[in-house]
Amino acid sequence: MKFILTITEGLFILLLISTLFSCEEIENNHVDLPDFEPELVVHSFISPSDTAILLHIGTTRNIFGKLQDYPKYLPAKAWLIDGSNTIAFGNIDSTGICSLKYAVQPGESYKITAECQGYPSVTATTSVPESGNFDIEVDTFTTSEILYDYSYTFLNLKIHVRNTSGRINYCRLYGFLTTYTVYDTLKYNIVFDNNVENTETTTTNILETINDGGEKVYNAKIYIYPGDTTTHAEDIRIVALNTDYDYYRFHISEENYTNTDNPFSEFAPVFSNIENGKGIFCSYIKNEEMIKIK
Amino acid sequence: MKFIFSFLFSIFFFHSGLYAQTEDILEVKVNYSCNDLPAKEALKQIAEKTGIIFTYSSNLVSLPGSVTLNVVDKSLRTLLNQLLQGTNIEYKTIGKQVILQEKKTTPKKFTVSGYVREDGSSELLTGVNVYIPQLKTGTVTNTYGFYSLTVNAGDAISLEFSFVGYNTVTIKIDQPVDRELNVSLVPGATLDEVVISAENNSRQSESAKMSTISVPIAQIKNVPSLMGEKDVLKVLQLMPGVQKGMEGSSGLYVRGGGPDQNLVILDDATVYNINHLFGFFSIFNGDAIKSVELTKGGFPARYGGRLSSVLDINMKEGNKEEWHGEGGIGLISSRLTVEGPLKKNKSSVLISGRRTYADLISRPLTKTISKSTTVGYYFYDLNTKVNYDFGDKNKLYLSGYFGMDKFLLKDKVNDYENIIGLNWGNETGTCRWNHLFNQKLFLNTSVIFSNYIFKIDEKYKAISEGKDYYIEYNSGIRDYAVKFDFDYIPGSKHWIKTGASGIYHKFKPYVFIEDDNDIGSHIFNSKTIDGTEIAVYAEDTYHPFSFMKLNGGFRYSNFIAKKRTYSFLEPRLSAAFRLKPDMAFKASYATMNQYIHLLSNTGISLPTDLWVPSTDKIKPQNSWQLAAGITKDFSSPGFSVSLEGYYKEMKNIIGYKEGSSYLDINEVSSASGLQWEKNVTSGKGWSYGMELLLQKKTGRLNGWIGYTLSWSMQQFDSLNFGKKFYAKYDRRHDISIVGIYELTKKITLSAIWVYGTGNALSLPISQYNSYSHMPEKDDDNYYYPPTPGNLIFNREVENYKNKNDFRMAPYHRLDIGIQFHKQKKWGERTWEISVYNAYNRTNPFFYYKNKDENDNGILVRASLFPVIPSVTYSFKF
Repeated sequence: MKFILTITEGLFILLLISTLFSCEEIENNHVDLPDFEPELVVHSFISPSDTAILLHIGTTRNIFGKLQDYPKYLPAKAWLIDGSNTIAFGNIDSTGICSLKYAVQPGESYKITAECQGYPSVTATTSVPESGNFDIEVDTFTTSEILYDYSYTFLNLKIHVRNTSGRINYCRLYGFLTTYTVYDTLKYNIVFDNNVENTETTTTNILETINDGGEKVYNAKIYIYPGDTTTHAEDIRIVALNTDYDYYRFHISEENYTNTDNPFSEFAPVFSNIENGKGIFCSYIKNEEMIKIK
Repeated sequence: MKFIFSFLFSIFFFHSGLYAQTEDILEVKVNYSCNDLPAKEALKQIAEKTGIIFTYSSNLVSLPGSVTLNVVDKSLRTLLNQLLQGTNIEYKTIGKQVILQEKKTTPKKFTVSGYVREDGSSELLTGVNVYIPQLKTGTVTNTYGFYSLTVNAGDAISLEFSFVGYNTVTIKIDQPVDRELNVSLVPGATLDEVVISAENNSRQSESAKMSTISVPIAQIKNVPSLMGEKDVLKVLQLMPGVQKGMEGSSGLYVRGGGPDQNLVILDDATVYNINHLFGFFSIFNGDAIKSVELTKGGFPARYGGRLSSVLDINMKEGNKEEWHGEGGIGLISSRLTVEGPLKKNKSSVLISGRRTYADLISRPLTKTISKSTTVGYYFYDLNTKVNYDFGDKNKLYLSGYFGMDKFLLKDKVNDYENIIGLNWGNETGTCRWNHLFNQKLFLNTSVIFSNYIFKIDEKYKAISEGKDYYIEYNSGIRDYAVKFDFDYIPGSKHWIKTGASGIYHKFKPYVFIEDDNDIGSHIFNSKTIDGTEIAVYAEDTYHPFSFMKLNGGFRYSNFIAKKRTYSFLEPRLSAAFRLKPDMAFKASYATMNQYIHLLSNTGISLPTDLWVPSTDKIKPQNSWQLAAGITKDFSSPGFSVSLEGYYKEMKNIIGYKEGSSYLDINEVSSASGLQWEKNVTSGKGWSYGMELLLQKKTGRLNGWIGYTLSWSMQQFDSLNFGKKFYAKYDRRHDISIVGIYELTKKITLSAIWVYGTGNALSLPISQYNSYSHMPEKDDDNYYYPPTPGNLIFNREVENYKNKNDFRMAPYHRLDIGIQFHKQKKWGERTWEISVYNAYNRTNPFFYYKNKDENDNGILVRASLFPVIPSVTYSFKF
């Protein structure tokens, strides 16, 4: 890595040599920058597996000019509309969070509305996926490997995620294992290998589009501690979320988002489905598999 | 069956009988004599004597006025032959009749063909206009200086050979017989008469070609340039329809296409990286180049493989008559070209080299900062060409280009030594054999090699520790190709070109080599990807009427990738209609396909830019383009104007997925291997606009004004949320004004002024806190527990309205130059003083956000080149 960084620096030095006479100028007066108009920002992710809906309200802030000015967003109010009923969220606390005890139903559509004086009112809708769109199955087997003259045992996972709904579905897959030690309880993300030929993708957090009747397979390998069963007892949870399209687009765009410090990086906006504002309102269904190692 | 056989049998004998009967009439023996009798009267008398009827039209005026005949016991055939001797009348028999009629003569044709060379060097000249004023027809010499014209005998004709910068030669043809006519044109005498032409052919209305730019190399040397480095590509950027990318870059953006959509050919070999030093200089050394032609649309069928343009560059062959040289010493580089005969008028050689010397300055400079560290950078180019003329039937050419950029960082303290090298460059080699089968059929066969390589290496040595370590990363593309091009010129109305080509690509996206004296040697991912591109084509330049010329054809191309084969038929058509003797309307349609793609998203040329093939996942890029325009020449005072409009649609163009960046070298590993397929996405593009070129070709003040009005849009399903956006180099207005003024024979003044709408830019309009839903991975890969309700503050994000919906500040710049020429005993020397960006405009290179002293958010414009004066000394002997 050091070598690579050195080379990267070298390239920049080279670029610097060629721009020996380069100069800079503040551009605010030359580029036609838009007037800043603050908007409400709303985030909420709803699921039938939750007993309450949480919603966060904030605002956009200036990016050119006075950065210290944080537009006020309180008092604000929010409502959930489930067809014929309009139900108000509780008070919004100082962090911008408000909640509503509500049982979200699979296959239903919901709308939220939020208002705050001085801002246009914002709305968004989501259709919760049907339950049973996914079937996940985890095969496990152990293998031994000799590394640096020591023999190690690994638990291998082969996770099949199948779309059984007869249409395109969006999936978010993650997993973690818990390790009980005498001192603490830690949870480790599981690193998946995407089981596609000639790729080296490893990730803890997979977002996928799974076509009608399609299946995606992922591999993970977990080292099993030898001997001491009192200090290392493990179980594994594999979670496959069946999400709506907006959930998928929002999280994909967040993954792609890079801070624009690098002037050559590709433009990567974060997806929003909030009308007259920013943020996201979307839904998912949780599918989970628990594997006990011992 | 039996019936059919009998029927055919009877027909055969029936016809045979008739034949015998008619033969008998002419073989009838006759005795006849007359003296000074009108032929009509003689025929009447013969008819009365033999009973045979003679039928002829009263308009048959060429019957002799009087004949004298004396035939005794000879056949009627003999008698008629004597009677009609010397006339244009033939006879035939039908039954017992003899029909007399005018002979249907097909006019005899003859062919004049040959080569056109430069006087004094015997260099074959491409694109010379060969014109017959009497017939208002003509042609141009092909890439190898060959021409062929077939015309009717009997026409008194003369051939005019004209070419920019050369004296026109007129040769009268007296005898209508096939002949080889090799012509030498004297250069220089009219050099100041033509600056640049939209087509090589000064008679634009005579050519079906459109959207083509040729740059006379001699004129490139008169145009002021950055640091005095004359650059073919930067002159092309001054023409309408061609835009530069970043400040100072040699990249060409043609009619809304990217730099990867340009096919750059040097002596038939594809050149994959045309830039030195991040694109500030191109690899083409003007001293070694004979011709440059850029085709922006209306592509003839012989070209293919890229969507937007074809840049065809041919190297000089070398002087066949005597040894000559030229060179120059500039601020950052020097160059030298030597050419001469190996065997007079038979064989010649050319060697041309250029090298920068930034390293000679930087090495001692870095020594003064740190005695242990050395930093150096330079690039070089070497062009070589050898040819042998086996006569007019066979010619052989061998040419090669070798160029490299080299960067070195060396650190040495006691017994510790670390050397880092960064090298990239092209090698091309071409062997061409020209064979003339006859005056009408010409063949060029080329065997081609092209290689581009990028390599980073690091050597680490610590003697006391006994450590010896070497690592290397390299990537590249290598081509082996063969090509056959036939020119068949059956007459003055057709010029048929047909041929085939095959290219075997070997892509090497990523190889990592590690050699450690402790753990041994390893090579990672040395896998190469193969791709084979095959094409056949046929085109005809057809001249059905004197006011109309068509070029139509097709190209069938095929690409064999690892898991998929792609095939496309590409129809091409262009037409020119001469509305007036000096005015033509032209239109063209062309479809193109591109099977290989360049991964680069920075907008500047980096050596890490990677060529990759189409695969089963990444489809070939396709486009079609429609163009129409009008050209007019004003004979005095040498003005010409052309106006063209175009519309182009592109499919499966490559874009880079949101958030990806290839600037960092450590991203290369994820961009290469086969992973690159995951980092790119494909979409659609549209570009349309109009181009105006006003030229003044003659006089002491000459130059041109180019104006382009254009729009370029793109749409990708996975970019900008599927919404259309302006392409990075969408430029509404682009203006170039070039003026060259010959103050005296010894002093030339020149100036360029360019203006362009600012490049498209994505700017955030606000920022906000974004919340996410998921356990997130932290640096140590620990599980990150979600807050209640799974709402996790993720980060501050910038809020963009649309991709590329802002504009950088407009680009404008003035360059001025003055040249002092002097004839010396040994040749000619030129001192040139030029000033780049004379009024010190801070043109935008890129923008970034920052904070001022009051912590306010600001947008900062970074510029590259302020006013840069330079001095160059050039010589020619």
